[in-house]
Amino acid sequence: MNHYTIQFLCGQINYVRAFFENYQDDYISTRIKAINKIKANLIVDTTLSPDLALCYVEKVFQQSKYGCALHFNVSMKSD
Amino acid sequence: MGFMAAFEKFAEKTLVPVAAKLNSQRHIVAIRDAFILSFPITLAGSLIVLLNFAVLAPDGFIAKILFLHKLFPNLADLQSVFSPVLNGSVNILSMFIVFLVARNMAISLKADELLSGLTGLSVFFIIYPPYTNVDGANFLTTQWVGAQGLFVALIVGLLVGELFSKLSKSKRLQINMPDSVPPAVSRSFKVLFPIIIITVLFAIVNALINAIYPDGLHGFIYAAIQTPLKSLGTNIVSLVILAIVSNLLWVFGIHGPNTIAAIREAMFAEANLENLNFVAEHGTAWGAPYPVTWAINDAFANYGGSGMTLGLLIAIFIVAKRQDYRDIGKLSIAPGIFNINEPVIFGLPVVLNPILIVPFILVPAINIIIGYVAIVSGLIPPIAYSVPWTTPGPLIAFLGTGGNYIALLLGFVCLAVSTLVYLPFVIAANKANAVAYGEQKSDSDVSA
Repeated sequence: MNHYTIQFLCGQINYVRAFFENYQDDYISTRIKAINKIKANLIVDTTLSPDLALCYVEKVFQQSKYGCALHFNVSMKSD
Repeated sequence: MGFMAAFEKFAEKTLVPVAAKLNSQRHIVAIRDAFILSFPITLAGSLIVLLNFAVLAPDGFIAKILFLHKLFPNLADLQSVFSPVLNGSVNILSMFIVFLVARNMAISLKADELLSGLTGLSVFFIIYPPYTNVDGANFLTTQWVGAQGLFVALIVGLLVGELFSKLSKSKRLQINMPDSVPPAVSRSFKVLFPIIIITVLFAIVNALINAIYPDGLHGFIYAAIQTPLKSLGTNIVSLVILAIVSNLLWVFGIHGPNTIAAIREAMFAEANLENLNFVAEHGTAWGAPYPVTWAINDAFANYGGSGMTLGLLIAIFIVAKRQDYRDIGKLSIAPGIFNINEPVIFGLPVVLNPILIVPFILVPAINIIIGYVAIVSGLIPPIAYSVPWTTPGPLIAFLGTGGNYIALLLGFVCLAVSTLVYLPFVIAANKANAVAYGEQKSDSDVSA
Protein backbone atom coordinates (compact mmCIF):
# COMPACT_ATOMS: atom_id res chain seq x y z
CA MET A 1 0.00 0.00 0.00
CA ASN A 2 1.33 3.45 -0.91
CA HIS A 3 0.93 6.57 1.19
CA TYR A 4 0.94 9.99 -0.44
CA THR A 5 0.33 13.51 0.73
CA ILE A 6 -1.64 15.46 -1.85
CA GLN A 7 -2.05 19.19 -1.44
CA PHE A 8 -5.43 20.62 -2.35
CA LEU A 9 -5.82 24.34 -2.98
CA CYS A 10 -9.39 25.60 -3.19
CA GLY A 11 -11.26 28.71 -2.13
CA GLN A 12 -14.08 26.56 -0.75
CA ILE A 13 -11.90 24.20 1.28
CA ASN A 14 -14.73 23.10 3.56
CA TYR A 15 -16.28 21.26 0.63
CA VAL A 16 -12.97 19.51 0.01
CA ARG A 17 -12.74 18.59 3.66
CA ALA A 18 -16.32 17.33 3.77
CA PHE A 19 -15.75 15.17 0.71
CA PHE A 20 -12.39 13.66 1.56
CA GLU A 21 -12.66 13.30 5.34
CA ASN A 22 -12.55 9.52 5.78
CA TYR A 23 -13.35 8.99 2.08
CA GLN A 24 -12.96 5.46 0.79
CA ASP A 25 -13.59 3.73 -2.50
CA ASP A 26 -12.11 0.79 -4.45
CA TYR A 27 -8.91 2.70 -5.22
CA ILE A 28 -8.15 5.17 -2.45
CA SER A 29 -8.87 6.04 1.12
CA THR A 30 -8.13 9.50 2.45
CA ARG A 31 -7.96 11.51 5.63
CA ILE A 32 -7.22 15.17 6.25
CA LYS A 33 -3.81 15.87 7.73
CA ALA A 34 -3.77 19.67 7.96
CA ILE A 35 -6.03 22.40 6.71
CA ASN A 36 -6.30 26.16 6.52
CA LYS A 37 -8.69 28.51 4.75
CA ILE A 38 -7.67 27.54 1.21
CA LYS A 39 -5.35 24.57 1.65
CA ALA A 40 -5.82 20.96 2.64
CA ASN A 41 -3.28 18.19 2.88
CA LEU A 42 -4.74 14.78 2.20
CA ILE A 43 -3.11 11.58 3.29
CA VAL A 44 -3.99 9.11 0.57
CA ASP A 45 -3.64 5.36 1.00
CA THR A 46 -3.71 3.60 -2.35
CA THR A 47 -2.13 0.95 -4.53
CA LEU A 48 -1.95 3.42 -7.43
CA SER A 49 1.26 5.06 -8.59
CA PRO A 50 1.81 8.73 -7.61
CA ASP A 51 0.74 10.10 -11.00
CA LEU A 52 -2.35 7.93 -11.18
CA ALA A 53 -3.27 8.69 -7.57
CA LEU A 54 -3.05 12.41 -8.26
CA CYS A 55 -5.18 12.13 -11.41
CA TYR A 56 -7.68 9.93 -9.61
CA VAL A 57 -8.09 12.28 -6.65
CA GLU A 58 -8.58 15.20 -9.02
CA LYS A 59 -11.10 13.30 -11.14
CA VAL A 60 -13.11 11.94 -8.25
CA PHE A 61 -13.51 15.41 -6.74
CA GLN A 62 -14.21 16.99 -10.13
CA GLN A 63 -17.10 14.57 -10.58
CA SER A 64 -18.51 15.09 -7.11
CA LYS A 65 -21.64 17.12 -6.37
CA TYR A 66 -19.83 20.35 -5.53
CA GLY A 67 -16.42 19.67 -7.03
CA CYS A 68 -17.69 20.23 -10.56
CA ALA A 69 -18.36 23.89 -9.72
CA LEU A 70 -15.18 24.68 -7.84
CA HIS A 71 -11.82 25.94 -9.00
CA PHE A 72 -9.07 23.91 -7.36
CA ASN A 73 -5.52 22.77 -7.80
CA VAL A 74 -3.91 19.50 -6.68
CA SER A 75 -0.26 18.65 -6.39
CA MET A 76 1.79 15.88 -4.89
CA LYS A 77 3.55 17.02 -1.76
CA SER A 78 6.84 15.43 -0.84
CA ASP A 79 6.84 14.26 2.76
CA MET B 1 -13.52 42.15 7.88
CA GLY B 2 -17.09 41.50 9.11
CA PHE B 3 -18.51 42.09 5.64
CA MET B 4 -15.96 39.80 4.02
CA ALA B 5 -16.62 37.01 6.51
CA ALA B 6 -20.35 37.40 5.91
CA PHE B 7 -19.86 37.27 2.14
CA GLU B 8 -17.64 34.23 2.44
CA LYS B 9 -20.38 32.52 4.41
CA PHE B 10 -22.92 33.55 1.77
CA ALA B 11 -20.66 32.23 -0.99
CA GLU B 12 -20.18 28.93 0.80
CA LYS B 13 -23.82 28.36 1.75
CA THR B 14 -25.57 29.85 -1.29
CA LEU B 15 -23.31 30.55 -4.26
CA VAL B 16 -21.55 27.19 -4.28
CA PRO B 17 -24.76 25.12 -4.31
CA VAL B 18 -26.18 27.34 -7.08
CA ALA B 19 -22.96 27.05 -9.09
CA ALA B 20 -22.91 23.31 -8.48
CA LYS B 21 -26.46 23.07 -9.82
CA LEU B 22 -25.51 25.08 -12.93
CA ASN B 23 -22.40 22.99 -13.50
CA SER B 24 -24.19 19.67 -13.14
CA GLN B 25 -27.63 20.37 -14.62
CA ARG B 26 -27.64 18.03 -17.62
CA HIS B 27 -29.18 20.44 -20.15
CA ILE B 28 -26.76 23.24 -19.29
CA VAL B 29 -23.82 20.84 -19.29
CA ALA B 30 -24.92 19.39 -22.66
CA ILE B 31 -24.96 22.88 -24.21
CA ARG B 32 -21.71 23.96 -22.58
CA ASP B 33 -19.84 20.85 -23.61
CA ALA B 34 -21.21 21.02 -27.15
CA PHE B 35 -19.67 24.46 -27.65
CA ILE B 36 -16.42 23.36 -26.02
CA LEU B 37 -16.17 20.32 -28.31
CA SER B 38 -16.95 22.32 -31.44
CA PHE B 39 -14.54 25.13 -30.55
CA PRO B 40 -11.48 23.63 -32.32
CA ILE B 41 -13.47 23.50 -35.55
CA THR B 42 -14.63 27.10 -35.31
CA LEU B 43 -11.12 28.15 -34.32
CA ALA B 44 -9.79 26.42 -37.44
CA GLY B 45 -12.22 28.47 -39.52
CA SER B 46 -11.14 31.66 -37.80
CA LEU B 47 -7.45 30.93 -38.30
CA ILE B 48 -8.03 30.22 -41.98
CA VAL B 49 -9.76 33.59 -42.39
CA LEU B 50 -6.80 35.17 -40.63
CA LEU B 51 -4.42 33.27 -42.93
CA ASN B 52 -6.35 34.34 -46.02
CA PHE B 53 -6.46 38.02 -45.16
CA ALA B 54 -3.30 38.50 -43.12
CA VAL B 55 -0.85 36.35 -45.07
CA LEU B 56 -2.23 35.60 -48.52
CA ALA B 57 -3.90 38.91 -49.28
CA PRO B 58 -1.55 41.50 -50.83
CA ASP B 59 -2.50 44.08 -48.18
CA GLY B 60 -2.42 41.62 -45.29
CA PHE B 61 -0.45 42.88 -42.29
CA ILE B 62 1.79 39.79 -42.14
CA ALA B 63 2.25 39.81 -45.93
CA LYS B 64 3.38 43.44 -45.77
CA ILE B 65 5.79 42.85 -42.90
CA LEU B 66 7.43 39.87 -44.62
CA PHE B 67 7.17 41.24 -48.19
CA LEU B 68 5.50 37.99 -49.17
CA HIS B 69 3.98 39.26 -52.38
CA LYS B 70 7.35 40.30 -53.68
CA LEU B 71 8.65 36.79 -52.96
CA PHE B 72 5.51 35.00 -54.16
CA PRO B 73 3.57 37.20 -56.63
CA ASN B 74 0.63 34.79 -57.01
CA LEU B 75 0.11 34.18 -53.31
CA ALA B 76 -3.43 35.58 -53.37
CA ASP B 77 -4.49 32.72 -55.68
CA LEU B 78 -4.17 30.38 -52.70
CA GLN B 79 -7.07 32.10 -50.91
CA SER B 80 -9.56 30.05 -52.93
CA VAL B 81 -7.79 26.89 -51.78
CA PHE B 82 -8.36 27.65 -48.09
CA SER B 83 -11.73 29.45 -48.18
CA PRO B 84 -13.75 26.18 -48.22
CA VAL B 85 -12.55 25.52 -44.65
CA LEU B 86 -15.27 27.93 -43.57
CA ASN B 87 -17.87 25.81 -45.39
CA GLY B 88 -16.85 22.89 -43.21
CA SER B 89 -16.61 24.79 -39.94
CA VAL B 90 -18.40 27.99 -38.90
CA ASN B 91 -20.89 27.89 -41.78
CA ILE B 92 -22.34 24.58 -40.55
CA LEU B 93 -21.92 25.09 -36.80
CA SER B 94 -25.58 24.36 -36.09
CA MET B 95 -25.17 20.86 -37.47
CA PHE B 96 -22.30 20.17 -35.08
CA ILE B 97 -24.20 21.66 -32.17
CA VAL B 98 -27.40 19.67 -32.68
CA PHE B 99 -25.44 16.44 -32.93
CA LEU B 100 -23.28 17.21 -29.90
CA VAL B 101 -26.11 18.42 -27.66
CA ALA B 102 -28.20 15.31 -28.39
CA ARG B 103 -25.12 13.17 -27.87
CA ASN B 104 -24.22 14.85 -24.57
CA MET B 105 -27.77 14.45 -23.29
CA ALA B 106 -27.63 10.72 -24.06
CA ILE B 107 -24.30 10.40 -22.27
CA SER B 108 -25.71 11.95 -19.10
CA LEU B 109 -28.84 9.78 -19.32
CA LYS B 110 -26.78 6.70 -20.16
CA ALA B 111 -28.29 6.02 -23.55
CA ASP B 112 -26.67 5.36 -26.94
CA GLU B 113 -24.94 8.69 -27.53
CA LEU B 114 -23.96 8.13 -31.16
CA LEU B 115 -27.46 7.23 -32.30
CA SER B 116 -28.93 10.02 -30.20
CA GLY B 117 -26.65 12.49 -31.99
CA LEU B 118 -27.54 11.10 -35.40
CA THR B 119 -31.24 11.30 -34.59
CA GLY B 120 -30.79 14.91 -33.53
CA LEU B 121 -29.14 15.69 -36.85
CA SER B 122 -31.91 13.91 -38.68
CA VAL B 123 -34.62 15.86 -36.88
CA PHE B 124 -32.76 19.13 -37.53
CA PHE B 125 -33.26 18.54 -41.25
CA ILE B 126 -36.78 17.17 -40.88
CA ILE B 127 -37.85 20.57 -39.58
CA TYR B 128 -35.57 22.44 -41.99
CA PRO B 129 -37.11 24.64 -44.70
CA PRO B 130 -37.87 22.40 -47.68
CA TYR B 131 -35.81 22.07 -50.83
CA THR B 132 -36.27 24.60 -53.60
CA ASN B 133 -36.33 23.26 -57.11
CA VAL B 134 -34.47 25.36 -59.66
CA ASP B 135 -34.20 24.09 -63.24
CA GLY B 136 -34.72 20.51 -62.13
CA ALA B 137 -32.12 20.61 -59.34
CA ASN B 138 -33.03 20.67 -55.65
CA PHE B 139 -31.38 23.31 -53.46
CA LEU B 140 -31.38 23.66 -49.72
CA THR B 141 -30.89 27.07 -48.15
CA THR B 142 -27.77 27.42 -46.01
CA GLN B 143 -29.37 30.19 -43.94
CA TRP B 144 -30.05 28.00 -40.92
CA VAL B 145 -27.07 25.62 -40.78
CA GLY B 146 -24.71 28.29 -39.47
CA ALA B 147 -25.05 30.99 -36.84
CA GLN B 148 -28.73 31.72 -37.37
CA GLY B 149 -29.78 28.13 -36.74
CA LEU B 150 -28.00 27.84 -33.38
CA PHE B 151 -31.04 28.07 -31.14
CA VAL B 152 -33.06 25.61 -33.17
CA ALA B 153 -30.04 23.31 -32.95
CA LEU B 154 -29.91 23.69 -29.17
CA ILE B 155 -33.63 23.12 -28.70
CA VAL B 156 -33.76 20.16 -31.09
CA GLY B 157 -30.65 18.64 -29.53
CA LEU B 158 -32.10 18.91 -26.03
CA LEU B 159 -35.53 17.57 -26.97
CA VAL B 160 -34.21 14.71 -29.07
CA GLY B 161 -31.63 13.83 -26.43
CA GLU B 162 -34.32 13.61 -23.74
CA LEU B 163 -36.86 11.75 -25.86
CA PHE B 164 -34.37 9.33 -27.34
CA SER B 165 -32.85 8.50 -23.96
CA LYS B 166 -36.24 7.88 -22.35
CA LEU B 167 -37.77 5.95 -25.25
CA SER B 168 -34.68 3.81 -25.86
CA LYS B 169 -34.87 2.51 -22.28
CA SER B 170 -38.42 1.26 -22.70
CA LYS B 171 -38.27 -2.54 -23.00
CA ARG B 172 -41.46 -2.56 -25.08
CA LEU B 173 -39.81 -0.45 -27.77
CA GLN B 174 -36.58 -2.44 -27.98
CA ILE B 175 -35.88 -4.96 -30.71
CA ASN B 176 -33.41 -7.40 -29.20
CA MET B 177 -31.40 -9.38 -31.74
CA PRO B 178 -29.80 -12.78 -31.13
CA ASP B 179 -26.18 -12.85 -29.95
CA SER B 180 -25.04 -14.09 -33.35
CA VAL B 181 -25.99 -10.78 -34.96
CA PRO B 182 -23.06 -8.34 -35.36
CA PRO B 183 -22.95 -5.72 -32.56
CA ALA B 184 -23.42 -2.74 -34.88
CA VAL B 185 -26.58 -4.25 -36.36
CA SER B 186 -27.89 -5.25 -32.96
CA ARG B 187 -27.19 -1.77 -31.61
CA SER B 188 -29.04 0.03 -34.39
CA PHE B 189 -32.06 -2.29 -34.30
CA LYS B 190 -32.38 -1.90 -30.55
CA VAL B 191 -33.35 1.78 -30.93
CA LEU B 192 -35.18 1.50 -34.24
CA PHE B 193 -38.66 2.17 -32.85
CA PRO B 194 -37.62 5.16 -30.70
CA ILE B 195 -35.95 6.76 -33.73
CA ILE B 196 -39.01 6.17 -35.93
CA ILE B 197 -41.30 7.61 -33.24
CA ILE B 198 -39.12 10.70 -32.78
CA THR B 199 -38.72 11.43 -36.49
CA VAL B 200 -42.44 11.02 -37.18
CA LEU B 201 -43.34 13.11 -34.15
CA PHE B 202 -41.16 16.01 -35.26
CA ALA B 203 -42.50 15.77 -38.79
CA ILE B 204 -46.02 16.24 -37.41
CA VAL B 205 -44.93 19.09 -35.14
CA ASN B 206 -43.19 20.75 -38.07
CA ALA B 207 -46.32 20.49 -40.22
CA LEU B 208 -48.44 22.03 -37.46
CA ILE B 209 -46.01 24.90 -36.92
CA ASN B 210 -45.76 25.60 -40.63
CA ALA B 211 -49.54 25.76 -40.80
CA ILE B 212 -49.59 28.44 -38.09
CA TYR B 213 -46.34 30.26 -38.82
CA PRO B 214 -45.48 30.27 -42.53
CA ASP B 215 -41.80 31.19 -41.96
CA GLY B 216 -41.40 27.80 -40.29
CA LEU B 217 -39.90 26.77 -36.99
CA HIS B 218 -36.48 28.27 -37.75
CA GLY B 219 -37.91 31.67 -38.54
CA PHE B 220 -40.17 31.55 -35.49
CA ILE B 221 -37.44 30.61 -33.02
CA TYR B 222 -34.99 33.04 -34.57
CA ALA B 223 -37.44 35.92 -34.16
CA ALA B 224 -38.89 34.93 -30.79
CA ILE B 225 -35.82 33.71 -28.90
CA GLN B 226 -32.49 34.04 -30.67
CA THR B 227 -32.72 37.65 -31.76
CA PRO B 228 -33.83 39.02 -28.35
CA LEU B 229 -31.15 36.98 -26.60
CA LYS B 230 -28.56 38.21 -29.07
CA SER B 231 -29.63 41.80 -28.39
CA LEU B 232 -29.35 41.15 -24.68
CA GLY B 233 -25.87 39.77 -25.14
CA THR B 234 -24.40 42.21 -27.57
CA ASN B 235 -24.61 45.26 -25.38
CA ILE B 236 -21.91 46.56 -23.08
CA VAL B 237 -23.95 46.34 -19.86
CA SER B 238 -24.52 42.59 -20.26
CA LEU B 239 -20.87 42.07 -21.09
CA VAL B 240 -19.64 43.95 -18.02
CA ILE B 241 -22.14 42.21 -15.73
CA LEU B 242 -21.17 38.80 -17.04
CA ALA B 243 -17.46 39.57 -16.57
CA ILE B 244 -18.06 40.83 -13.03
CA VAL B 245 -20.10 37.74 -12.13
CA SER B 246 -17.47 35.41 -13.58
CA ASN B 247 -14.61 37.08 -11.70
CA LEU B 248 -16.63 37.35 -8.48
CA LEU B 249 -17.30 33.64 -8.55
CA TRP B 250 -13.63 33.01 -9.33
CA VAL B 251 -12.37 34.92 -6.33
CA PHE B 252 -14.63 32.91 -4.03
CA GLY B 253 -13.25 29.63 -5.28
CA ILE B 254 -15.98 28.88 -7.80
CA HIS B 255 -15.05 28.24 -11.43
CA GLY B 256 -16.53 31.41 -12.94
CA PRO B 257 -15.99 30.80 -16.67
CA ASN B 258 -17.39 27.25 -16.47
CA THR B 259 -20.42 28.40 -14.51
CA ILE B 260 -21.38 31.09 -17.00
CA ALA B 261 -20.25 29.18 -20.12
CA ALA B 262 -23.67 28.05 -21.32
CA ILE B 263 -25.19 31.53 -20.84
CA ARG B 264 -22.19 33.18 -22.48
CA GLU B 265 -22.28 30.93 -25.53
CA ALA B 266 -26.05 31.33 -25.95
CA MET B 267 -25.68 35.13 -25.86
CA PHE B 268 -22.55 35.62 -27.95
CA ALA B 269 -22.10 32.65 -30.30
CA GLU B 270 -24.14 34.01 -33.19
CA ALA B 271 -22.58 37.47 -32.97
CA ASN B 272 -19.07 35.98 -33.04
CA LEU B 273 -19.89 33.91 -36.10
CA GLU B 274 -21.56 36.80 -37.92
CA ASN B 275 -18.46 38.94 -37.32
CA LEU B 276 -16.23 36.18 -38.70
CA ASN B 277 -18.48 35.76 -41.73
CA PHE B 278 -18.27 39.50 -42.29
CA VAL B 279 -14.49 39.33 -42.35
CA ALA B 280 -14.59 36.34 -44.71
CA GLU B 281 -16.76 38.32 -47.14
CA HIS B 282 -15.14 41.74 -46.88
CA GLY B 283 -11.55 40.96 -45.96
CA THR B 284 -11.55 43.37 -43.02
CA ALA B 285 -12.94 43.60 -39.49
CA TRP B 286 -13.91 47.25 -40.02
CA GLY B 287 -17.68 47.45 -40.13
CA ALA B 288 -18.27 44.01 -38.55
CA PRO B 289 -21.91 44.00 -37.42
CA TYR B 290 -21.43 43.28 -33.69
CA PRO B 291 -18.94 45.53 -31.88
CA VAL B 292 -19.80 44.03 -28.50
CA THR B 293 -18.97 40.36 -28.02
CA TRP B 294 -17.18 38.33 -25.35
CA ALA B 295 -14.05 38.75 -27.47
CA ILE B 296 -13.61 42.23 -25.91
CA ASN B 297 -13.03 40.52 -22.54
CA ASP B 298 -10.42 38.19 -24.03
CA ALA B 299 -8.75 40.97 -26.00
CA PHE B 300 -8.46 43.62 -23.26
CA ALA B 301 -9.47 42.25 -19.85
CA ASN B 302 -7.94 38.81 -19.46
CA TYR B 303 -4.17 39.26 -19.67
CA GLY B 304 -2.52 36.79 -17.33
CA GLY B 305 -5.87 35.09 -16.81
CA SER B 306 -9.10 36.09 -15.06
CA GLY B 307 -8.81 39.33 -13.14
CA MET B 308 -6.14 40.68 -15.51
CA THR B 309 -3.54 39.21 -13.16
CA LEU B 310 -0.64 40.16 -15.44
CA GLY B 311 -1.19 43.69 -14.16
CA LEU B 312 -1.07 42.32 -10.61
CA LEU B 313 2.25 40.60 -11.29
CA ILE B 314 3.78 43.78 -12.72
CA ALA B 315 2.47 45.74 -9.71
CA ILE B 316 4.12 43.18 -7.42
CA PHE B 317 7.47 43.66 -9.11
CA ILE B 318 7.13 47.44 -8.82
CA VAL B 319 6.00 47.89 -5.20
CA ALA B 320 5.91 44.62 -3.28
CA LYS B 321 8.34 44.52 -0.39
CA ARG B 322 7.41 41.06 0.86
CA GLN B 323 9.80 38.41 -0.39
CA ASP B 324 7.03 35.77 -0.65
CA TYR B 325 5.07 38.07 -2.99
CA ARG B 326 8.10 38.61 -5.17
CA ASP B 327 8.89 34.88 -5.21
CA ILE B 328 5.34 34.07 -6.29
CA GLY B 329 5.57 36.80 -8.90
CA LYS B 330 8.68 35.21 -10.39
CA LEU B 331 7.02 31.78 -10.41
CA SER B 332 3.84 33.11 -11.97
CA ILE B 333 5.14 35.41 -14.71
CA ALA B 334 5.94 32.68 -17.27
CA PRO B 335 2.53 30.96 -17.15
CA GLY B 336 0.94 34.40 -16.75
CA ILE B 337 2.17 35.50 -20.15
CA PHE B 338 0.02 32.68 -21.55
CA ASN B 339 -2.96 33.60 -19.35
CA ILE B 340 -2.56 30.79 -16.83
CA ASN B 341 -2.79 32.15 -13.29
CA GLU B 342 -3.19 29.25 -10.84
CA PRO B 343 0.19 30.01 -9.22
CA VAL B 344 -0.82 33.57 -8.33
CA ILE B 345 -4.48 32.82 -7.57
CA PHE B 346 -3.54 30.27 -4.91
CA GLY B 347 -0.01 31.46 -4.22
CA LEU B 348 -0.55 35.03 -2.99
CA PRO B 349 -3.42 34.10 -2.63
CA VAL B 350 -5.95 36.15 -4.55
CA VAL B 351 -8.80 33.79 -3.71
CA LEU B 352 -10.71 34.98 -0.62
CA ASN B 353 -8.32 37.93 -0.30
CA PRO B 354 -10.46 40.87 0.90
CA ILE B 355 -7.98 43.41 -0.47
CA LEU B 356 -7.17 41.94 -3.87
CA ILE B 357 -10.77 40.98 -4.58
CA VAL B 358 -11.53 44.62 -5.39
CA PRO B 359 -9.09 45.13 -8.29
CA PHE B 360 -9.61 41.53 -9.43
CA ILE B 361 -13.22 42.43 -10.22
CA LEU B 362 -12.78 46.11 -11.04
CA VAL B 363 -9.85 45.96 -13.47
CA PRO B 364 -11.46 43.71 -16.12
CA ALA B 365 -14.63 45.83 -16.02
CA ILE B 366 -12.59 49.00 -16.58
CA ASN B 367 -10.64 47.45 -19.44
CA ILE B 368 -13.78 46.09 -21.11
CA ILE B 369 -15.17 49.62 -21.12
CA ILE B 370 -11.90 50.99 -22.54
CA GLY B 371 -12.01 48.40 -25.33
CA TYR B 372 -15.69 49.09 -25.98
CA VAL B 373 -15.17 52.86 -26.23
CA ALA B 374 -12.26 52.35 -28.61
CA ILE B 375 -14.40 50.16 -30.88
CA VAL B 376 -17.57 52.24 -30.95
CA SER B 377 -15.60 55.46 -31.43
CA GLY B 378 -13.98 53.97 -34.51
CA LEU B 379 -10.44 53.90 -33.11
CA ILE B 380 -10.15 50.17 -33.71
CA PRO B 381 -12.37 47.64 -35.52
CA PRO B 382 -14.44 45.04 -33.66
CA ILE B 383 -12.65 41.90 -32.45
CA ALA B 384 -13.84 39.63 -35.23
CA TYR B 385 -11.28 36.81 -35.29
CA SER B 386 -11.24 34.02 -32.70
CA VAL B 387 -7.83 33.63 -31.12
CA PRO B 388 -6.73 30.84 -28.72
CA TRP B 389 -7.12 32.03 -25.13
CA THR B 390 -3.54 31.15 -24.26
CA THR B 391 -2.23 33.76 -26.75
CA PRO B 392 -0.26 36.44 -24.88
CA GLY B 393 -2.64 39.27 -23.99
CA PRO B 394 -2.05 42.23 -26.33
CA LEU B 395 -1.59 39.82 -29.24
CA ILE B 396 -5.22 38.76 -28.86
CA ALA B 397 -6.31 42.33 -29.54
CA PHE B 398 -3.83 42.60 -32.43
CA LEU B 399 -4.78 39.32 -34.11
CA GLY B 400 -8.46 39.62 -33.20
CA THR B 401 -8.73 42.86 -35.16
CA GLY B 402 -6.85 41.44 -38.12
CA GLY B 403 -3.53 43.11 -37.39
CA ASN B 404 -4.55 46.56 -36.14
CA TYR B 405 -1.55 48.22 -34.49
CA ILE B 406 -3.69 50.64 -32.53
CA ALA B 407 -5.44 47.64 -30.97
CA LEU B 408 -2.03 46.28 -30.01
CA LEU B 409 -1.11 49.61 -28.45
CA LEU B 410 -4.46 49.75 -26.68
CA GLY B 411 -3.71 46.33 -25.22
CA PHE B 412 -0.58 47.72 -23.62
CA VAL B 413 -2.54 50.73 -22.41
CA CYS B 414 -5.02 48.37 -20.72
CA LEU B 415 -2.12 46.51 -19.15
CA ALA B 416 -0.73 49.79 -17.82
CA VAL B 417 -4.17 50.76 -16.48
CA SER B 418 -4.52 47.41 -14.73
CA THR B 419 -1.07 47.77 -13.17
CA LEU B 420 -1.90 51.26 -11.90
CA VAL B 421 -5.18 50.05 -10.37
CA TYR B 422 -3.49 47.06 -8.70
CA LEU B 423 -0.60 49.14 -7.26
CA PRO B 424 -2.33 50.57 -4.15
CA PHE B 425 -4.02 47.26 -3.41
CA VAL B 426 -0.71 45.39 -3.60
CA ILE B 427 0.77 47.92 -1.17
CA ALA B 428 -2.18 47.41 1.18
CA ALA B 429 -2.06 43.62 0.83
CA ASN B 430 1.65 43.67 1.65
CA LYS B 431 0.83 45.19 5.01
CA ALA B 432 -2.06 42.82 5.74
CA ASN B 433 -1.58 40.19 8.39
CA ALA B 434 -0.18 36.96 6.91
CA VAL B 435 -2.11 34.89 9.45
CA ALA B 436 -5.44 36.00 7.91
CA TYR B 437 -5.38 32.65 6.14
CA GLY B 438 -4.87 30.66 9.34
CA GLU B 439 -1.38 29.53 8.46
CA GLN B 440 -0.32 26.96 11.06
CA LYS B 441 3.19 25.85 11.85
CA SER B 442 2.25 22.42 13.25
CA ASP B 443 0.80 19.46 11.34
CA SER B 444 -2.14 18.90 13.65
CA ASP B 445 -5.73 18.96 12.43
CA VAL B 446 -6.89 22.55 12.78
CA SER B 447 -9.93 24.14 11.19
CA ALA B 448 -9.64 27.61 9.72
